[in-house]
Amino acid sequence: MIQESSHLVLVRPTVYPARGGLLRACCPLTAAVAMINTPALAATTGWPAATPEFLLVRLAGELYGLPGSAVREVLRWRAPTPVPGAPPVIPGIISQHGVVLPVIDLRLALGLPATPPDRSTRLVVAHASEVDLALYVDAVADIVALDAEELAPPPSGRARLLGAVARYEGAPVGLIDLTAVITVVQEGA
Amino acid sequence: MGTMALIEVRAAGRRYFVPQAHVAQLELLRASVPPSRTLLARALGPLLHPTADHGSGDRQALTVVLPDCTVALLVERVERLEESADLRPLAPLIARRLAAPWVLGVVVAGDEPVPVLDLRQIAADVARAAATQPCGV
Repeated sequence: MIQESSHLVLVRPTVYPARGGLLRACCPLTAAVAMINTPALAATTGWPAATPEFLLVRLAGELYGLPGSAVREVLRWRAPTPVPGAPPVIPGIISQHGVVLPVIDLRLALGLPATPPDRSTRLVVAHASEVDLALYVDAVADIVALDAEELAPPPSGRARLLGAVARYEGAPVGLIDLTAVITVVQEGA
Repeated sequence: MGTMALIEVRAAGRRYFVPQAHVAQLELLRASVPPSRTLLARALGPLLHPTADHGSGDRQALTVVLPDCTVALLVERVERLEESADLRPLAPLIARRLAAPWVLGVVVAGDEPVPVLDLRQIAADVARAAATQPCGV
């Protein structure tokens, strides 16, 4: 599912095979997460049991899921170019395929502690809400498909940036709402 | 955003471009610059990255002429002139969050994005901040 090369790790952008079958590319995942915020809602909307895929990433030792439909590429770490006057949550910019992308430190966006980059650090190139960006994460763990009925509302403290929570191999996974992340970063809230 | 002639400089250990049109003069830094009411000199590196460690490696001055004051912005060195660089806009996500509007855009040099500084705006802000005190080092 994840292809490694000497300088980057590629995730196919739209439809790719997964454990539970093919990713359903019919709906933006951020919208999907909002739709299936509760199992009851999922049941009423008739959202398919084999739900969207998520790229699992590690942030400050915790697992989080990024909507698979939003992920374009996973890159090995390279230091972004700092932009004078930018807040810490935007540590800089990178150029990828000639496109200049802002880098968002997801750990800081979520209020998590940040550690220096190491061999596991990755930049996840994503597109959401008409915005291209690179997300700074501590590591990429897996790509998984989650059942809608396994999703639950996020805990109140972190609900702002999470669309739902799930479990993966017994561990809790916060499913990140990228639209909310972009809004928070834009507004500086 | 089009093309423009840019000067590549190094400040705070990093690469930047500045529009050639913003720079009235390039000078080697003298050992001391006498305080003056018309010349204001500031190191560019600490202005751009206040929390970073800065040595005393500034060797050259970019002079920006304003209506009431001339501002000399000190840099480690001037690297080269790029006669026709392709200036790209900064992504709105980051442009909106800048503490000051000091970045005009980005030039991709090699594979590296290099910020293009609005030197006139920086000089104007330096002059404004110093308005209550005499110009000088």
